[in-house]
Amino acid sequence: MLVFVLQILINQELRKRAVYGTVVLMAVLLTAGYMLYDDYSDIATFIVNLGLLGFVRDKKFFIVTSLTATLAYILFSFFGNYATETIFDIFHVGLGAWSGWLFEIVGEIVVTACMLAVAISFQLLHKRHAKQFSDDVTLNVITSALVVAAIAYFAVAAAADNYNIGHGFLGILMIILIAVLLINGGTFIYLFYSYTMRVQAHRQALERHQYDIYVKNLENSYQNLRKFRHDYQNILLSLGEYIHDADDPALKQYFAEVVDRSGKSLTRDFGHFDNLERIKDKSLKAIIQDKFSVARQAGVQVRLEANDDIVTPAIDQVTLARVSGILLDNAIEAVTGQTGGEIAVAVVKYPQMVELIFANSLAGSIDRLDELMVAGHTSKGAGHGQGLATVRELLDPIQNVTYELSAHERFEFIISIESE
Amino acid sequence: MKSTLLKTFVVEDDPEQLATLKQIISNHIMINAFDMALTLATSQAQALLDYLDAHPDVEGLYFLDIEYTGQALNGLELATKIRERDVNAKIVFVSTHSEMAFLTFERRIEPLDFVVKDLGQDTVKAKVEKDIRVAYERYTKQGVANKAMFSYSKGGQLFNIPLDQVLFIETGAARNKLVLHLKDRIIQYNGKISDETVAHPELFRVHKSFLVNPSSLVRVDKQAQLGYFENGETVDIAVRKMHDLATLIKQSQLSVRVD
Repeated sequence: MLVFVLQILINQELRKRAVYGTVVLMAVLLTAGYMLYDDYSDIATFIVNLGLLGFVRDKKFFIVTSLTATLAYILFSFFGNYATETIFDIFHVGLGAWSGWLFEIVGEIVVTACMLAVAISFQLLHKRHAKQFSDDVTLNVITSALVVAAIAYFAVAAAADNYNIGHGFLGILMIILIAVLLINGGTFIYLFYSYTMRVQAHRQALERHQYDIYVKNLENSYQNLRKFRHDYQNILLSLGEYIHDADDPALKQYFAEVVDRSGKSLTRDFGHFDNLERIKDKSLKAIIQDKFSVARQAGVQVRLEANDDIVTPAIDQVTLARVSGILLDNAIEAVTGQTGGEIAVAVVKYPQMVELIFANSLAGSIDRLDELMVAGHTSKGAGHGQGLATVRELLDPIQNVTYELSAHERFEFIISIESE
Repeated sequence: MKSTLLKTFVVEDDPEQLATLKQIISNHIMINAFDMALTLATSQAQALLDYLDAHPDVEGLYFLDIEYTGQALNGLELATKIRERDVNAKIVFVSTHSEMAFLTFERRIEPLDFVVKDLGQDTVKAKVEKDIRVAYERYTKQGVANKAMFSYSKGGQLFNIPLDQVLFIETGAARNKLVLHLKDRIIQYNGKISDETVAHPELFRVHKSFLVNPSSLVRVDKQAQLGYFENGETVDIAVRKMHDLATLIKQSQLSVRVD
């Protein structure tokens, strides 16, 4: 009850008339109950406490702290008793009239200190593991465990009182019971978590699978589109041969317009998906897809070249992702705002090597390529400086990987990955 | 000189476009009275390879499409096979923009040019004619000034570059890595500087970490022990090597300022 009143003081949400009323009513009833009949007072208190907790059903964390406090209080009352007895024994103080009071005071101090420790550790826990404490599932588990422990304790206590079993035996019984409960609870939590993890993993796998199917479908329909585009362009070109020979200026004019318009839309609207299906390495594919869409949003023309199917190149995935990310970001930055700016990535396959070429059009010439690779150097305008030192740092130690960069007509960075 | 005639080949699977290309090429050769011939114009990639197998020693100018529908070879494979048979092949890709893989082809084939079909007939005609002139010019000059080449290899692949592009080679940041500095390119590759010194006698070892192409140097500063290149890059020169380098520069009559 005391614990509960304290909690009301701390917790603003409990300051309701109904709560106050209930607390007062319960206090009166309980006091009356104690006066008349003392045997089951502990259980009554506990049931009342549980009833009070009904007010805060939604505040799981609060229930946890409250229950823990109650149980801790009970535990510490025993502990306090024993501790004080031991202290008295050590200092050879007999239990006289005045020392009875001393006993009470020391006992209460010990209990209060223990309770304070519990409260502080709760605060600390709450601060450090805020996530776990706001997770409903975890809180539910803990609450249930605490309720079970409390009920068990009171059941044992009631039985012990009724059949006049000594407190020592009761203590042993309690320890065994709590141990069993802890083991049970641990097992339960472990099973529960492993189950949720499994469900989660399964769901992720399913999602990935569906995404793969989606990408594959997209690629298939895109390939069909490409075939169509190829045929369409060739038909236009053949048609052009005839129209060129025909003696009709209006027709020629119109045809030139059609060719111009369709040529533009065919490269602009579909170009970014070209050849993506050839890249079988998922992380490389993802990063190219991602950066290309960024570039396209910035109004930059993109092109991907891959003439053969490319499986995973012999390089650490994370390194490759970082390096290609930096290079593509640089390229996008360099080309954004350039008229007719273009970014191109080529994956070139040789019998014993795969080369990745990252290229972008240049606004101005770069004279000193060697300076681009030095950390802290930023070429004005070209925007290639920042990451290249990092790229170099990442690639230099890798035995089977070498690189080239050039700035002739366009900026080009080539990563050559020899198969091991 | 193997043969005096520069042979021209066209592989294009669209009959109309093949006819147009044939016409442009024969007309241009005839008008300029070049010592050239349109040897083969076919829609079959294999036919060209058969011709090359039957006639080794061919030096040619090749106009290739990129996708041959229904054929075993595509333009890239065909071009690779042509290179194997004709080292000096001048290859021009004629195709639509969406089919062009500019970066890939440049890296693997070093083509003479790309002609984008969708740019319109007049542009195509102008580019094809220009390529014929360029190819013919290169072909006639080829015998006179045989360009010195420098080569390096990566992943079993040999890459060739004109020697006059080479500035210097330095040891890289990691073991067994070398950095080749060209005029507009930096190439990192696997190798040892001692091996490269032996393999390329045309280069001069000026320092334990630097192997220099002396004809690319513009200035040598004896005081600071530095060698300068046109783009501002510098190399360290060891004291012991300074004398030999100065002698070499004098002997080869290189236009390098030594001070």
